[in-house]
Amino acid sequence: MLQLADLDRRALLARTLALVGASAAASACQTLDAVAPLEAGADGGLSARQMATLRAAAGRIIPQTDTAGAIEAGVPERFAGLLAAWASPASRTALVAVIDRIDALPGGGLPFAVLPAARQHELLAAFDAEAMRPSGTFVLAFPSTRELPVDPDYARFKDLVVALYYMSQPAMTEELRYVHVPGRWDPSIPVTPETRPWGETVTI
Amino acid sequence: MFDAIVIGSGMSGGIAAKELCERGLKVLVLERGNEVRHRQDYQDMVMPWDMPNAMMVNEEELARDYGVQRECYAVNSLTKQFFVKDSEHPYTTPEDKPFAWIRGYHTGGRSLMWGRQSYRLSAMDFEANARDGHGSDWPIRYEDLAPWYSHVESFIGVSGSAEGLDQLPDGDFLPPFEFNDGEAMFAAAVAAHFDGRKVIPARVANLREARDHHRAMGRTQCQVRSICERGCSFGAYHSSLSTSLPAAFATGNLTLVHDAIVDSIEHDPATNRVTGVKVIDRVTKARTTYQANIIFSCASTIGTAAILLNSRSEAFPRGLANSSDQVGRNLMDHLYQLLTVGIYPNGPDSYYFGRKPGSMYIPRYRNLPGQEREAFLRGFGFQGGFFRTGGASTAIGQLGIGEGLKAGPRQLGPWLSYLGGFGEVLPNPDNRVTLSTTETDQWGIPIPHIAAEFGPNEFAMIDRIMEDGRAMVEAAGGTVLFQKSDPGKFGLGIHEMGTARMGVDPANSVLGQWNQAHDVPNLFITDGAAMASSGCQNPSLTYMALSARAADAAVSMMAEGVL
Repeated sequence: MLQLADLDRRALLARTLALVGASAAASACQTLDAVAPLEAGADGGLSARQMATLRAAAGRIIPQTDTAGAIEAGVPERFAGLLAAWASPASRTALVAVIDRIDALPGGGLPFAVLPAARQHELLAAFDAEAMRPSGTFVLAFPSTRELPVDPDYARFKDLVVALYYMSQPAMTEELRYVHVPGRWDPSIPVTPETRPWGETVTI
Repeated sequence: MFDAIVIGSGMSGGIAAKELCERGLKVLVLERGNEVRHRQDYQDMVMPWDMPNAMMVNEEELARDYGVQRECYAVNSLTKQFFVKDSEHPYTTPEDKPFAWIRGYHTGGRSLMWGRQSYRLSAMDFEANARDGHGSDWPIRYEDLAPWYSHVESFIGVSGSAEGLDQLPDGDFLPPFEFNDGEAMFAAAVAAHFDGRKVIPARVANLREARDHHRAMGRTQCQVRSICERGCSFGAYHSSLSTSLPAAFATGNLTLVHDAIVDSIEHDPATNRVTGVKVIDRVTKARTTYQANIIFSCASTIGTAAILLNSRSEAFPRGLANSSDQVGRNLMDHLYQLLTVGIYPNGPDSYYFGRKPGSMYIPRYRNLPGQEREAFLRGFGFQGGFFRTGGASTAIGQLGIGEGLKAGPRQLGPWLSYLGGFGEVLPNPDNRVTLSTTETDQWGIPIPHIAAEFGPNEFAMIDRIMEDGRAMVEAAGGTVLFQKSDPGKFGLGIHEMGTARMGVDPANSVLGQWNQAHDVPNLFITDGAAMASSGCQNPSLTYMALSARAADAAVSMMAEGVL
């Protein structure tokens, strides 16, 4: 059991806003959704270098462990698909700019995408730590307010990568657990070392 | 020529049509929107990883076409076809009185996407206007509607628990969805700390078990998926599409016409009867008039008001059946989005299987008979949720990347609760719907102008809602993470009502005890417009009970030669 003290309070608040925002007026139970298969040619207009950077960044944000990571789950392709089919021009510009900034992280003259994984992780983790610092600025975000990190565009980029991962089939069925048609309600089941949380909707 | 025309195929119209058809009337239902077919047009069987755009609607499309609908929790890429395009259905408001009009125009209307919360009004609610003088005295009391609540609950299937509360009468229920261990802990704590206050399983129009008559209609028990707003291929929650309209069709007496936008209702001053309905085809814009002996307007609160106001004549210069000047007035909703979110570090170490379609409800416990009066009139209830954190949302907004980030979501986290206060809104004649004198929609019909705002009683109630929410979380061992104390826009509760209210006195009401227009005997209104007060309970069950009762009365009147 995680203790409240173990959890960063701001991060916990962000998580609960995401949860409550999707279902504040409905039941407590989560609805499920996920991602579209990438259509042929729907690469969001990314260059090969940008796609490589996106792939590398996604792989560092959610790496392969004993289960698939973001790359194996098809997140980069799905992200590009979102750029093509979902993002407004302003969102697309902002998200692509984040990819370019990751590409420009100081890699000793080499692009981010070709660096060794450990170096990629080191650079991106430092970037993330700086970018995700609370800014002290709050914006209205249903159902409450959200404190913006100093780099809200990066935060949005990362949240999309994370959401796309956790709404992929590998994540929902191997990393977490998911049953499309539960067929029954069991109000109390024991928690065991094998218990994983149920897959859920992520509001980005 | 039909025996009856029902305007609208939604929550009220579906029941009205079923009850009229079952009593032998030839009924025409006019639905302004497109046809949606039960099962065929649902996307509930699509696997999560095959859904478009992570369930998000294209941003430009959302801003352009769903500027108002986007405020509704249920709008996503799988359900957007069930919500109107605001770009095609404009309305106006005063700049300082925003109103969120959430709606869907298709077979079944909002009964496809509703939250399924089903609660009876109580004796106290029907007496409220008479007691404190706000609004028109209801011409009925709880005893008049009780048998019809039972009738509807049995037909549609409502899951709930018997609690013996005067302020929230028990119904004809299917078994409840039991509390998970977090809810049980919370309910026990509230009962222990707050005398007379109860946390109960949400009463939802889902088939916890299917009875024979449900199965005979092709409906089966709820599969506990909680994706109801996409439409349910199991027919396991009530909608007009799964339940009422099939029952009506089974009689052989129903004709359902889609794409039929009602412009106005015709009235014959010589007989003082409505005679027909003028319709504009949504697609072709061709005009047709349908005639019937009786007309039920179930076009939703604002829709019905607009039709009546647009049906002016020499006999009714202010709009059909509007000698009282109350048509369009007294628009109510519920206080909504008043949230308290709590986290419980020491909750029970257990989990649950399935995604039940309703969580918990706290019936009204303030301003009950015999209690000390609060700083406000009437009262509020809470709808809530209680669940274990963990999974994807654990990683959203989290600092860090890599294995550390991935480790968090695979663990179950603490229990989290949210409590949303739903507060009664007093009837106020200045909260009203009128018709624009300058703007029309693409069908040439004047667009509604909606001017409504919360009043002093509502704002006085909010403080208590927030205090009580905090107190309950803390009593249950939780920590309040945040509260939202400014209510959602008027209308965002999606419980708009009151614009053709029932009342004893024809001078200040539109409808009598049978939902029959005081001014025009063969006109009946049984949607939310009929409500003389809002209560704090979700109103759809009451709309359906009123519809069934009024249909029965109308047919009796016809049989007696009164109509």
